[in-house]
Amino acid sequence: MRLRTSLILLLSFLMIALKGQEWKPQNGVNDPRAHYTAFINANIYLGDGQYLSNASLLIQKKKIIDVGETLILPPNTVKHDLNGKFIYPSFIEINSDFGMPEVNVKSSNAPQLESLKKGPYFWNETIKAEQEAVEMYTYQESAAERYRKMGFGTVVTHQMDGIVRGTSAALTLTDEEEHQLLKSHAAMHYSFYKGKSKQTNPNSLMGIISLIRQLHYDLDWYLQQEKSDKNNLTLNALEKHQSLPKVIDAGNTLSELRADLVGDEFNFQFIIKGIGQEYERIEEIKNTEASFIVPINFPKPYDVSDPFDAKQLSLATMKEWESADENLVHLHKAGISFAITSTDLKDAKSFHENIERAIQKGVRREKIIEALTSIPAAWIGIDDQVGELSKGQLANFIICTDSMFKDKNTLVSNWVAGKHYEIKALAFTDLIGEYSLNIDKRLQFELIVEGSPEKPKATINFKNEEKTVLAKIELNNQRLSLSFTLEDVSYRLSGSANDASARILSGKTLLDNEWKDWAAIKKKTEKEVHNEALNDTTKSQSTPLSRIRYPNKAYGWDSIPKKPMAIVFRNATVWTNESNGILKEHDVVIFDGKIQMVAFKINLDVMFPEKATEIQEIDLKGKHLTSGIIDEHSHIAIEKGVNESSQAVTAEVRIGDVINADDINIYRQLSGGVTAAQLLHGSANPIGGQSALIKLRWGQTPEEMKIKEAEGFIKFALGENVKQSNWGDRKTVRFPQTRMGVEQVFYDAFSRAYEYRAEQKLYSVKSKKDKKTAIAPRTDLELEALVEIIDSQRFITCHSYIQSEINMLMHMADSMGLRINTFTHILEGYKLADKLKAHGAAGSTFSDWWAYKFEVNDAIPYNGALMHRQGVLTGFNSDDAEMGRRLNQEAAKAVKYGGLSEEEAWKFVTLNPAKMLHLDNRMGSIKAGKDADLVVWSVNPLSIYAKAEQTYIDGIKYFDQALDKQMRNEIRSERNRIITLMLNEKSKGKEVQKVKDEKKKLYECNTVEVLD
Amino acid sequence: MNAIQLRSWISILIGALLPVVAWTQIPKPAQKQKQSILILNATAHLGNGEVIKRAAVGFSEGKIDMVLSAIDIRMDSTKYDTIIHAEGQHLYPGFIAPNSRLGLVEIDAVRASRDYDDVGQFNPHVRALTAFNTESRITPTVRTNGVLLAQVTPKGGRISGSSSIFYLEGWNWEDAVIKEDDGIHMNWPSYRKQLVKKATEKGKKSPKDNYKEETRAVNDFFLQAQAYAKDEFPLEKNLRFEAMKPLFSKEAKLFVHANRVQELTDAIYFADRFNLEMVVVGGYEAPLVADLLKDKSIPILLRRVHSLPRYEDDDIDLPFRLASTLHKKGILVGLENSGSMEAMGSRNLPFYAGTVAAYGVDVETALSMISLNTAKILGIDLLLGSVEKGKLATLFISEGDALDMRTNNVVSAFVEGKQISLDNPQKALYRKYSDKYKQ
Repeated sequence: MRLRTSLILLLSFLMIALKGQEWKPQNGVNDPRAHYTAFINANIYLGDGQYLSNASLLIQKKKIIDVGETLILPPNTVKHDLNGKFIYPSFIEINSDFGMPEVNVKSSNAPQLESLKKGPYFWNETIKAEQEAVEMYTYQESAAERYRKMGFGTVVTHQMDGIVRGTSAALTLTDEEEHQLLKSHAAMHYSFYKGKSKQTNPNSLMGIISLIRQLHYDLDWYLQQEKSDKNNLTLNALEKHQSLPKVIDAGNTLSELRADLVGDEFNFQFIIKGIGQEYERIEEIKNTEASFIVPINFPKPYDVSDPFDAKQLSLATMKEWESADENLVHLHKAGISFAITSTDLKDAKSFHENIERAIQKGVRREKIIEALTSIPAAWIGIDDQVGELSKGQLANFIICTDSMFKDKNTLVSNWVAGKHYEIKALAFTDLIGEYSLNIDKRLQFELIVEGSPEKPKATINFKNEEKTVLAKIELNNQRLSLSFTLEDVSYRLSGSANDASARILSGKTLLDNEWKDWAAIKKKTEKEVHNEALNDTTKSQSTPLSRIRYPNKAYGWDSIPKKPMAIVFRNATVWTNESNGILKEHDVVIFDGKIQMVAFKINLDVMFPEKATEIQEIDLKGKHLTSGIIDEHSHIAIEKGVNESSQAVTAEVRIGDVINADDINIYRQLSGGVTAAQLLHGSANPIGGQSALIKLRWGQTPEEMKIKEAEGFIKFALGENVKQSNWGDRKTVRFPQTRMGVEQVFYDAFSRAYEYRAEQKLYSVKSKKDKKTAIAPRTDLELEALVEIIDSQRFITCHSYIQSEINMLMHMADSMGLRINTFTHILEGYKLADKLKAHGAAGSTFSDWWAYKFEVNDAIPYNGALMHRQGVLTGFNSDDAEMGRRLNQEAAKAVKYGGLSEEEAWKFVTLNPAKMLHLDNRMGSIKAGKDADLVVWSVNPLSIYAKAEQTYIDGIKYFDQALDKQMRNEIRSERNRIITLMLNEKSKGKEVQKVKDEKKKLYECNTVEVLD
Repeated sequence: MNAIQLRSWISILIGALLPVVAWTQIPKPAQKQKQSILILNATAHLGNGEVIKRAAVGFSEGKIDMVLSAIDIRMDSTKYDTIIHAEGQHLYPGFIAPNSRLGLVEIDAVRASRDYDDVGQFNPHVRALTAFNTESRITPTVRTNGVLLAQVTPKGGRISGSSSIFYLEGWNWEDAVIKEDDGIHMNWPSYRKQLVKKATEKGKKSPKDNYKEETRAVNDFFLQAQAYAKDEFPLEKNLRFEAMKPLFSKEAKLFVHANRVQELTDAIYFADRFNLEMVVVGGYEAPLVADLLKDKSIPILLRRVHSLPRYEDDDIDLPFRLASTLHKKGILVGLENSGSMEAMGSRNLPFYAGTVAAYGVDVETALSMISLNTAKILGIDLLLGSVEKGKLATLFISEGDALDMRTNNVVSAFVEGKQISLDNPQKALYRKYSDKYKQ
């Protein structure tokens, strides 16, 4: 009896709790629905890996009252016997734009420099922190239905446009407005996509990254302001929502790593929305310690039946297809916290299908359910309301016929906040089985019903004869009709099934114009018995995962090459670039990535006692050994924009933020003996972005490619590009448009930089006490970079052509206390070599380019020789992905045009650029102690007939002709293997997609891209 | 005579032949050959695959009248007015830059200086002939490296226009032209449009799947042009179709610019149906249709050797090796240089041949790809393209291997026997500023 008392107590408590919540005036009499609803005989997944079998779920209004194996149900309970069906908590879509309005932008013909959003907002209209999804959404039934059909009951929605997109709202997917809102401010959303803003800034990925960084520096400063001074609505919103989780839509695997670096700078952790290719760099992804939102939109196989078309498909794309459904396994194995989003899926149907594919590859089913329920719920703090099935949670659950995601599983209904949304009506009567059918007690048939109870398919066997005909069967609750034709006789039967399992069917038929009886008795049920263990232990057959290459494409490594202890190169012609010149028949020993010794016939036994036999010896008789080529001006390996051209001064942007370690041109240039490069910002504005100095460590990540402890460099530019001369008639708005204006940009920038520097200094010398009361000056990334130049911590590489502008810049520099480190291109350098020398500027030029623009009409191939002879530190660069792999030949042109010695000419592409980049203490020559960045050449490296046979960086062999040959074969067989897989898919009737053209874009100085 | 003496002797000779050149002037064209010349003891690379180690090459009145080995054969050197001793040096036929916008553009970015691409899709009537600029500042810098001839070619549209072949020397286009309207250039429709991404990204329009439409338009144009050509007295004159007539009479060749295997296949059968003399320009995927090309005797002007592979998965040296691959399949290959910085970059044509030699064929075979092969492809091989008796004396001497930038140094050059100036505006600037620093 005690139980009953407590139940009554409980019930009365609930009555009190639930009463009195109706404040909405009613039209008509009050119509409270306080009854209970129970789902009995169900297999229930509670969450967190716990299953209950043969259990019940009790709900009232919008909440779960109880769940358990032995529930006592109140008398006013509507019972639904689920008959062994399954109940799961419904899913949470964490990355949705449900109910969001379209983004409308005005566009004008002229470039739009200013924000069009009126009011006290941030100066850049793509920063929309003030936007609140909760104020913007309107419930859309069709979208809600689409989600519910997949099993979602909750969405976290925001408008997917802009770099900062404002706060999202957590909503349930019910049309009952009073039950929709779970949390009005769920998260702050960021992205690396500019969106629809037509404002010119930013127009590159590095610009986007800088903008986010600057925004947070601005915020740091803003937080210190007096309340009355805080009058910017965008920053106010950022301040108000500081504690919310921050979600960023990054764009690709490398950008996911980039996003994490941005967070690190400001001590916050982004939740990163990825693209589902995290397996490409799973180690680094794990090291971010971030949580990830991953899509499951696996690409369709490509139609490769025409081998000519298939030719266009890259191995990278093929591997993307092959590895897509393995991504979750990689994330799971690495122990990375992830949620799953359906947003990138084009068709909702594939949602369950794709997840089941992933499960088959080896992810635990419960892990997936967590990724769709409790994990996202916890991230945004709605786990007290949704995400599992327990007392007090919202009645948000789905009912289905089988274990979640299984092939034959059908979603039957989706309950959102206690409201029932039917997804698929189940037949009341289950006809499936074999019947013996008699008509008028004389005709005997066999009736076989197959298919699903909802769509039964019937066939009739005529007894004792091998005759089978199709029959038409129609079912309406328990009433049914059956018709078939046998030997020209039509039989039409009407009747009913005795109960839900339809063991006996009976009714009437017209035979010879008379009503006769018929009956059918079920002989065998085919009903499935769920004898499978509920605690889903389906260990997938764990097929081996496909191999990941570094990078995951043609010419990628199986594993990144390792550093050998030591190598000795024997009998080479060694171009030392040192005072001992070119040495014939010499040996070079490298040890632990450094050059150890250059000498004639080195005795290894003396050098490495007892270890001499372990050392690899390479005989280079007749071959040449040089230090690696250094390309002072390169634009390879850069992602999503080489120019942030939106403003005249963009010193804040950094190429280092957007290194594309997967660019095939890295490998191609290794084959041309290039070991290091300065990746420069383009030349679209007078003060461009900061350079990245890298070694071409193919296979490594962007961060690992950067040369550690290299000094900072920055791109400046002069002339036609910066004044937008060849950009078309629309681009006439941005200052400057003349060389006169260009000069003023520099004076203005450095005047501001000096003032900023003084302000920072003033603050930094304040006492601790004073600092507490004072407001720290705002960190301005643009001016920071300029101050670094002033303080000789960052060095200028300036794109330049004609002598007047070069002269101007040196004058500007002199008067502002600066020095120009390098003039690049500098095709008229020969006209003022003496002035360059006096200023101390180096000249990094082209060997023989000219006549492509008006300002290069006086360019001459003798430029290099003339500058060199006047004592200017001179080099040749490529500025071109193709020429970058033939810089050895370009060096030879300094011999041809101007008659330099071969030794001097060779330094144009090795030692001299090393000096320009302040790397000559480690690179540029073959000398004990320097980095073992070496190239083996088949013949004299200046010759057109020379080939780089091996290229070493830090003693590691990154290119080898023999290995390259092997790789080509591997690429071919790997391609064939995947093509066969795709052909199999097609022949199995899977939908395929057309092969796309994959031509990649190459960057030059003046490439300006439009981002979207 | 040792090498140093020889060199100074030659410079004296050149100095004597040249009047004082103004600083930045375009060099003055040379006068007709009046005196006969004998070049003695150079290593003569004939352009047809042969080399004569110590050669005697003589020419008078613009024509080569002797090509012999000076070792094997005693000859009468007294009949030549001038003897050039060229021991240790190399002699070559003048190199030919086909499919070039040389003389049609001065500065790429300056619209006023661009004369290679006119309005319209089907422009066979537009001809390079009369627009060729003999006062170009670029051409003298090109011939300085041994490129003495060019097929000057309009660009753009479906049918770009008619090319003509010129010496890079002359007072005016009439003076410089070798062969007028030698070919019509057509850009075959791009199969790429079949393959580009469909409109999935927001706001981006999908290009039409219009390869079929475009090839049909080409076919229709040729059908109509062919019909017009059969009409001896057309009532209404059509300049486009008039220009097409030489194609059908085989007085002109059809240069089809195409790279993809699908395009090449379609183009080959197209030319076959119309019974045209076709040349492929580009030909990146030509090895896949090599049998067909060979079968139909279609030669290739192969795209720029110094270029990147078109596809990520391609062999990294594929562009370097392509010429030898095609050559070994029995196809007649010449090298061309179209693309960015085409005009000024054509001075690097010899080095393309050098790269070809480094990747699969011998030097002499590579050399023929910028001399005799090209002459054959352009239909001027009866008179030009190699150093052979009876041909025009268009040749040059380089101090070293002309295919290698390390050694290429052209010391004298002749066009139809005329010794041409090897000065150019860039050398003039070099002298001017060398002098500045001497002061």
